Amino acid sequence: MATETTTTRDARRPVLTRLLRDRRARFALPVLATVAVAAVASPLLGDRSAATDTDRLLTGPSARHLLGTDELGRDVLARIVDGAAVTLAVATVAVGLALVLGTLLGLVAGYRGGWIDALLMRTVDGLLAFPLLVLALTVVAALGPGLRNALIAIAVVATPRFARVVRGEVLSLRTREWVSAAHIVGVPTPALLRRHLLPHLAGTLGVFAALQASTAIIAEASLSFLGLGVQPPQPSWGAMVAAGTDHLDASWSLSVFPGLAILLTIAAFNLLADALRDAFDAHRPDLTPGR
Amino acid sequence: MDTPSVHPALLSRRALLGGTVGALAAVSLAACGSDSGTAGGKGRGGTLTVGFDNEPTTLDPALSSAISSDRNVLNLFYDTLLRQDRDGSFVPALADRWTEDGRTVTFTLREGVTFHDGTPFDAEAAAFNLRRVIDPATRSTKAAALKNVGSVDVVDARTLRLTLKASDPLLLIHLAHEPGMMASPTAVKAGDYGRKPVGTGPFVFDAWRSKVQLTGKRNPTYWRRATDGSALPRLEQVVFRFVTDTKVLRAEVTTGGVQLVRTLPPEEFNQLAGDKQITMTDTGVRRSYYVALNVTRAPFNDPKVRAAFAMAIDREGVGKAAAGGQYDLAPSFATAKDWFYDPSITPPALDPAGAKTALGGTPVPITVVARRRAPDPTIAELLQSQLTAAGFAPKVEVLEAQTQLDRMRKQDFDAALLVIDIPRLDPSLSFDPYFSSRGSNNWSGLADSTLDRLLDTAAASEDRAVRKQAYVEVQKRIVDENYWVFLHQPKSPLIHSAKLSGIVLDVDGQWRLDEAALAS
Repeated sequence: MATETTTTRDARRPVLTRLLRDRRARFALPVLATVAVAAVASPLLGDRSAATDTDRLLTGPSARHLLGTDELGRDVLARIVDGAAVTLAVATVAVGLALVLGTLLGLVAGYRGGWIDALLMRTVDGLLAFPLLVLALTVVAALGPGLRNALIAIAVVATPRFARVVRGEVLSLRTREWVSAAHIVGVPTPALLRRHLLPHLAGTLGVFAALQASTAIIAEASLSFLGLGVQPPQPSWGAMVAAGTDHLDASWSLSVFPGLAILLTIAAFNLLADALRDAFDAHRPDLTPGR
Repeated sequence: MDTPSVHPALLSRRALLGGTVGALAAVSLAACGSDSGTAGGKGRGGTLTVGFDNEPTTLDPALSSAISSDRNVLNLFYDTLLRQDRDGSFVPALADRWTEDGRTVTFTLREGVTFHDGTPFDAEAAAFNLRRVIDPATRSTKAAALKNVGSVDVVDARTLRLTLKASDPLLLIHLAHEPGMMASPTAVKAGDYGRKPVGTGPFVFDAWRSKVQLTGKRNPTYWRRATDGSALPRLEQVVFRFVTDTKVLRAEVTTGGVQLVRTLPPEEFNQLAGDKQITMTDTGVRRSYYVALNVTRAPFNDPKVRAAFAMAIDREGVGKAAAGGQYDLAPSFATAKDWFYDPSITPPALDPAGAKTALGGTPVPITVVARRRAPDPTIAELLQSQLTAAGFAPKVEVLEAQTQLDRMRKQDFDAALLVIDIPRLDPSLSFDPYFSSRGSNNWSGLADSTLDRLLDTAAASEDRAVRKQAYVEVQKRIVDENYWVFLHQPKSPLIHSAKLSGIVLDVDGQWRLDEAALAS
């Protein structure tokens, strides 16, 4: 790998420029942009995704229905486009919520230390001890099925992960000279956290959020597959795959296309995370003075 | 006692795939008798493994509640005074003969029969069982079946006399099924009877592990003989495995893990077609899907809105989507082979545009309750789409079984989607609970004096022509008023291994396995 030379050569370029030159990002960004456009534009479809046609049940791809129809004769393409809104909500709302909460908890725990740190981190350890889906299922079981509760469940599951990562970063940052200096000249703690620590977390958080977005999308798809996420008739990719597995013998396309949509989106988020990490890593020497 | 706790939401997809409606049992004298023939003397012995989706909550026949499935199990352990054959005729069982004179029924009991625990079966034991069902303290689910029995008298050890308060055309039917099943008085008095049944039947209860399986062993001293004089039962052992997931059940039938399965939905049994190892017989059993409309509150207290609902539903479309073409359409709980069937009864024609006009422009909000069990949510989703197109604003709530029934009992819904198994032992058992103002399952909240009068006439008469006339009028009234919208009737064939023969069916399609045999 030629990362060594790339890193030194690109070290002074802005993160975005370096990101756009990355092959992985060049694949990921258009895919994610398509998902975003689909999500935003889905209302333009009108009731196409809800219109049933019992004369055309479980048909394969055709000119009339590009990706075929489902078990109630609805257009699969229209439903995938409609389902993009759910996916986007998960990637932004749920992960965003976890990011904000987790960062806050991580900052406080890492900077203050002491019993607050112990209390927060033991709680986080407890939550992390559960497999992701089991915890999400428990939350949904307590709150009841539905998109909003699925988003809450995913946020609850992801928050401790963010808290853990942020705390680790803060622990290494808080002993740095500029933090000590700020503390000595009397910068109040909230301002210190915001102005002197938070900016240095941006890279890590960006990468981690992209990774968590893909985990969250899988979690939502799993919840919907189990019938606990998005409720019908609102389409969700996970629920569509579930419906497809019920009719595998009658139609191959029903579970394949939504599954492909999930696969592409998750792959895009993972590749974006990789690309982001490299982009940020190369930038790091600027932020962290040489030892 | 192992009673695993169940988290409804966690298991709901499982629940959705499995589970079946408990419903009443019943007769149709029609039924296409396509029972497998008996296997002569061959195939003696062996273990029959059954895949069963609806585990009974109790094996006490006086307390059993899943009317369309429990008797499959109860028939292993219990006999009744008389049996009703598939064609509706009565044949002797624990009673050699009986006489009726309108106000009394006298049974002469078979000699030399003992319960599995050695307790002799005599008139005292028979009287104990019938009195136990009638006694309000028992809280028997079958008490209503014997409501016309005034007293049960032991004339001598072999003679039992029932004195009736009023003549009851359905009494013998009831006595031939759960309400007349004979349990050992010794065992009943010993307590915890529902988990440790003791009868006189072809199989002796062996073990029951909740959620896993139930085992019965051959009763070596069974009183009944096959027509060729050979001993019954033929099987050495019967194992009921409790599996709710229909996909698992289908896979088990395919691989031979089970040789008999209670019921599979069309999307599963369609995949078994052409498999030479498996026999599928349409025995006339249907599942009848319906939507009950709540007439006690707006909007369905208005007949015009109910008519619009009926015009909005594409019943053929529902059948195609939910039953893969394996369905019939019928005007009500009647099937085309039933004596009370009348093809001239027709629901309103499909006309979404007309419905929309009738509703007058603004979408009418309604709440539809459905059960979380395939394919009900799919049907609900399709109804939602069809109703939206016809000017309703439907909200669908997919609920666990008990929650849905609670909501329906409290009339806290607008439209309810549910299913019963038909035929039942008698049409009165199909219609009275749902359409009489006193009915236990009067979901719609009906208080229709015309219907009540017709139902009473039909239930009280012994004259088939009078009954038919009344039941046809009942169905006309229900359909004309659109109290209910009857959807499709998916087929529910008898599915078993080709090696298994000799399954005898009750009038409503439930099994008797004493003559069943497995070819090696």
